[in-house]
Amino acid sequence: MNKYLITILLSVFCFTSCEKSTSQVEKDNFDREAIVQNWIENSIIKGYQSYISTLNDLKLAHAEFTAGPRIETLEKLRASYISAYKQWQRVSMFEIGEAEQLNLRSFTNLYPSNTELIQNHVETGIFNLELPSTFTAQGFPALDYLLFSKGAETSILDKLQDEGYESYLTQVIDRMIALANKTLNAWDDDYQATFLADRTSIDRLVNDFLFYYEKFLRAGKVGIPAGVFSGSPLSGHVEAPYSEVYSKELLLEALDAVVEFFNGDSLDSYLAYMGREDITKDLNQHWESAIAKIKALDPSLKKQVETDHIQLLEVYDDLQKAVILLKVDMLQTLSIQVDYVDADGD
Amino acid sequence: MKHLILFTTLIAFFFTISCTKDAPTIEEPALYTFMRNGQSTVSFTGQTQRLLMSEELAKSLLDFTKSEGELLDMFANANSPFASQDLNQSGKSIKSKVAASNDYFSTNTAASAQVKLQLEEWISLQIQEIGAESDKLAIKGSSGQIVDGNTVRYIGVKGLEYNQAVVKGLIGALMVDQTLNNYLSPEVLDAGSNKTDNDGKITVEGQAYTTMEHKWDEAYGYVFGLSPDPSNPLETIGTDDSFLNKYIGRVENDSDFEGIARKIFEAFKLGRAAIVAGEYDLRDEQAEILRTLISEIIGIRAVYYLQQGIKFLETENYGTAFHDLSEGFGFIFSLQFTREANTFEPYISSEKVDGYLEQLLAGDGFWDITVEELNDMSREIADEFDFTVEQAAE
Repeated sequence: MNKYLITILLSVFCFTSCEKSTSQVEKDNFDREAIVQNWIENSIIKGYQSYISTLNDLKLAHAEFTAGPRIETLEKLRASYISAYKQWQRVSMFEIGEAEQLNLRSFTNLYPSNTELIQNHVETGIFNLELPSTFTAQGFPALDYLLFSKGAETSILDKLQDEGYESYLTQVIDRMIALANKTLNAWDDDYQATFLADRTSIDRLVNDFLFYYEKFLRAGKVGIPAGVFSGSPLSGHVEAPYSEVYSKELLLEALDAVVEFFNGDSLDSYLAYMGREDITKDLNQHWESAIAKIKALDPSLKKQVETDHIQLLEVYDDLQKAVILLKVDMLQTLSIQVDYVDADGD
Repeated sequence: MKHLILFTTLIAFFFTISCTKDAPTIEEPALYTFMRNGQSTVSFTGQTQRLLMSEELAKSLLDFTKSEGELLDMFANANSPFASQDLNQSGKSIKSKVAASNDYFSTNTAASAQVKLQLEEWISLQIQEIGAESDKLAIKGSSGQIVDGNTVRYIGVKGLEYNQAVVKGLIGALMVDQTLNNYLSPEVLDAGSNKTDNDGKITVEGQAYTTMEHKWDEAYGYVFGLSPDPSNPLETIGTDDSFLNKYIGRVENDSDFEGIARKIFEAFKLGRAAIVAGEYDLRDEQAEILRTLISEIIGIRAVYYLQQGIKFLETENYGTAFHDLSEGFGFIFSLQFTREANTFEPYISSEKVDGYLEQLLAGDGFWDITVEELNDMSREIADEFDFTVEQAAE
């Protein structure tokens, strides 16, 4: 009887009991500047320097290939592509300041690539890589396609000697170098000093780190291809699907960079100062477990997803356990607010 | 708190006593399932078709190979514009039901025509102003592409994504207006001999439903018409369309408003059960509840997007800010179709709405709108509803 009355009563209760607690925690006396300084010097500046050096090698290897297109020069070109791609995994998380302004990550590594658009650019020679609509026609995903998919041609060697391909490769590589240089140059002494002096820098950097970990590592490299968000696996969504055999290596590199960023005069010290070594210990355990599981996978995550996606889901679960520790336990302990929300999706 | 419980219990007690006397005997099913002689009496194919047309139009607005004429044809269902022949031959269109409710527009055809023209203008500008410049980067004063996270957005000279204005505008002009001001209106439900037919269980020729039942279902169809299981739509709420259903889902996910989706569903279901039982007062009570709740969805999202826009303007993330403001712009437009319970008035008048839209687009539009203006707007809108800016903001 009177079901709707009960609903009204229940909602009265709900409204009265839904108060929010908004207590502000006092900030501690930990030397936050010291770890920010460490990040700038050792992770950011050195990271971009190494990344740029591998990109320069890539440009050189491409020039060598163009001068003498042979299997040997092609293999060298491909090897330099993968070294640069691995080095990128170590700086992708620092989408802050100039990198953020440039949309560095989207222009460098947004996948799956749009191969139709790439083909169109190659064939017509008409394109503008500064447009956001060309995100997925440049950067590493485009290189992966250009260097490893032979398309209609009989061999990659034949394909890459075509003038359209040669010119497009050059422009894609040059743009990556230009973007990386702009980013590194922006970290000049002045900017470093301003960044260090800004008390919100640590909050922003930690947020960017978490955002990267959650969206691009956990979801992008593992969750999406494993089918966490779609219900069924999407093998075409792995990183570097055309070269195939490097996707696992890239994931390991990325996770290694995360572990390295977190440990050693970093968030681990801060947590220890706050008496929460347990969080560090648990996080490292989850990451170690994930690394062990990744090592057991097929080098090609595409193949892995197609034969047994459950194994990749298990990796995802470990990575996800770390998300909760990072976003809830760690941020509460360090009095850092999450500054991003899940995108609206439309 | 204890006093409150006691107080509530007392009130409940009173209610129980006073309701038992004349409590209607309503058979209310657990799901939106109503049968007669073993046949379902629930039907809303016209609504499902208009939702599908709107979906296809929404997608096509970002397909710059489409011409302005083709898009306007989709709006009016002219010259077989849709992929599906069923839609092309349905004899129905989005345009004919835009700003076309009995309660708001039957004696207000000039206003109705203005709304239709407004939506058509935005559709045209999507091609004229943006389509032609879609291969350029947008800067202040000129249209083109802008980055929002990983996504590319296409904005006009004022920073507005016209496609968002159209899609979010349709939520008000089509779905909300038809639902709240047409099919839930006693004038529509009780038109002609509907009441006596319904009392006598006289069904529409060749159909299992009475006209009144069908009218109510048509309101339901604008909210749940693309649900894979419309009898149990809460299972998938928020994922079934890009319009009202989607944003009921979004508001439901805000803990400040948790439960609103179920309240909407329950009111639809009880109102329908009341029609079957011939209890028209109870039916109209449910209609008023729906007016309040569905209007709130529009109000909450308008304020939410203005607040999101502020957040990203402050960090100079223009692409994301403009995207949020574009969605907010469309929801503000939709506010004029909301309906305050027991009145014939929207929460925000169309004059007020026009003022807000003008203010948003004044000068260089989103490029120079101030945080202060957006905050004032948010507060003014929230003040007309039963929620705060803070509740709507996250």
